[in-house]
Amino acid sequence: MASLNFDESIVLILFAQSGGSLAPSHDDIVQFDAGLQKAFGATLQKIMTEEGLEIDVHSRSLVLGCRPHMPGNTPAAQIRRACRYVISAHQALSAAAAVSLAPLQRALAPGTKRGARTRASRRLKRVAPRAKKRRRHARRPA
Amino acid sequence: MKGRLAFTVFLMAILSATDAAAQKTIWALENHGYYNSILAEPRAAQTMVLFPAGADSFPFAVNEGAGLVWDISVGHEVPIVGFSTSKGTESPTGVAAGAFGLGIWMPLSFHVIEDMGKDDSNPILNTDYRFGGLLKAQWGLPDNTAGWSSAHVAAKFQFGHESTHLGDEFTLGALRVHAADFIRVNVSYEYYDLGGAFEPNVGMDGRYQIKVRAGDIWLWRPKNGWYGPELLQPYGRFVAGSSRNHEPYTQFEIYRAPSGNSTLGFILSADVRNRTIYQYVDVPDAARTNPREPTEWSTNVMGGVRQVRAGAGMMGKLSPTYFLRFYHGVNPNGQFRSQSGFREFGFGVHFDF
Repeated sequence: MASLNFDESIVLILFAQSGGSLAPSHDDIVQFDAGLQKAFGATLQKIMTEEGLEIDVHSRSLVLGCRPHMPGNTPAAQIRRACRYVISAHQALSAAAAVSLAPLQRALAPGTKRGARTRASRRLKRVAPRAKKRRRHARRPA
Repeated sequence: MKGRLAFTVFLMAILSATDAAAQKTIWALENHGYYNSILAEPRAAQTMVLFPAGADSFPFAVNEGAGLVWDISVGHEVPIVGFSTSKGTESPTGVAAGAFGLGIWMPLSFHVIEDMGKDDSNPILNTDYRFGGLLKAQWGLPDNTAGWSSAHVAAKFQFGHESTHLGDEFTLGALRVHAADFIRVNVSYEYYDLGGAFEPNVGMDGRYQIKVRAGDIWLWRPKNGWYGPELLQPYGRFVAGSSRNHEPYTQFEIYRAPSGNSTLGFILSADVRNRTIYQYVDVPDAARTNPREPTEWSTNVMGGVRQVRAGAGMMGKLSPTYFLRFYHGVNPNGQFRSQSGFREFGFGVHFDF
C-alpha cells in the first residue's frame, strides 16, 4: 500500500476529476498526491489552523476534496470556503444526530428503570390481567 | 522577425507537448484561466451588451448629432488543447504556485453597434467580425511572497483576421443623404498580438485580484495596411494606404472578490491603447501610402459589480457583471476608425460562461 499525504479516496476522486488516466500506475497516483501536497500543503495548514479545524489526514483530505467546488478565484479563498463548509456541515449533522437520539438519551438517563412508566404511558388506564383474559374469552364465537 | 517568432512559438509548443506527454497532463476542450481577457478590452472575444448607451455622431449618419445606441459583443475564447505541469491543482485564476500551463484557444467574436432612434429604421451602423488562434502560457509564482497571496506571470500570442462591415440600411441612408461624400472603405486585415501580464492576488486569500498587462498588435502583412486602398464605394477610386503597422496597449484591472455570504464582487477595468487614426486621402492609384498617420491614446474604462453564482447546470456557471462604461478616443468601429475624439458611455451587462 502506498503512503499518501491524503486519503486514498480523495486522491483517486481528484485524480479522476483532473482527467487522469483510467488505468493509472502506482507512480501516477503517488506523483499526483505529491503534487497536491506541494501545491496546497502549506495553505491547508495555515487556513485550517486559522479556521479552528482539527488537522489530520482525514480533515485535510476533506477540505482538499471540497476545494474545487467552492466559490472563490484563488486557492486560498477556495480552501477557506471549504473549511467553513466542513465546519458548518459537521455542526448541522451533529445537531441532527442529537435530536434523533434525544428520546433514547432520556430513557437511558440515570434514575430511569427499564420498563418504568413514562409520563405519557401513565395517562393510559392500566387494565388488570384478569380483565384482559375475560375480554379475550368474550370475543370467542359461541 | 515573424519567421523567428513563429519558430520560437512552435519550438516552445513542441517542447512543452513532449514534456506534457510524459506526464499525461494534456487537456482538451476545458476552460483554464491562464490569460482571460480583461473586462475593458474593446475587441476581446467575450459576450456583453451595452444598453442604454450614448455615442457621438457617426460620419455619414442621416441625422447628425449624438444619439442612443446599443453596442453588443458576442464571442468566446474556445479552449482547444493544452497542458499543465500540475493537474488537479488549478483555480479560476490559473495554475498553482510553481506550476506552468500552456494552451491553444480559438477566439471567435462579432461586435455590433446599432443606432436606436436617431436615424430611420434604427440602422446597424457597423459590425466587426474577428476570428483566429490564441496561444496562452502562464506560470505560478511562489505563494505569500512580496506582499501577494498568490501571483502569476503570463504571456499570449494571438493571430487572427478582422473583417468590418457597415450596416446595409446605414449605407443606403448615407448614399441618399451624402451621395457626394460617402465612401465605403474595406477595413480588413490580419494581425498578431503579443502580450504579457503580471497578475498578483493581494489581501487576505488574494481577495484583490489585479491584472497588469501590456502588449502590441502588429499587422501580419504591413504592406497591405489596415484597409484596402481601393474603395468599395465609389468603386474605382483610391485612398492612400496606411503606413503605421502596430498599436501598443496597456491594461489594468482590479477585482475585489465578495466576502462572507455576499455574492457581489467589485471590478474596475481599464484599457488604454495608442490607436492609429485612419487617413482616407484621395490618391490616383493603389500604390500610394500615407506618411505616418496621427495617433490617439484611446481609453476604455469599465466599473461595476460581478455576481458570483454557484450550482449545477449552465446558470450556475454564468457569472454576470453589471457595469458602467466610458470610452474616449478613436472610434473603434470598422471604417469609422478615421474619427478621433469619439465618446461612448452607458450601462451594460457582461456574461462570463
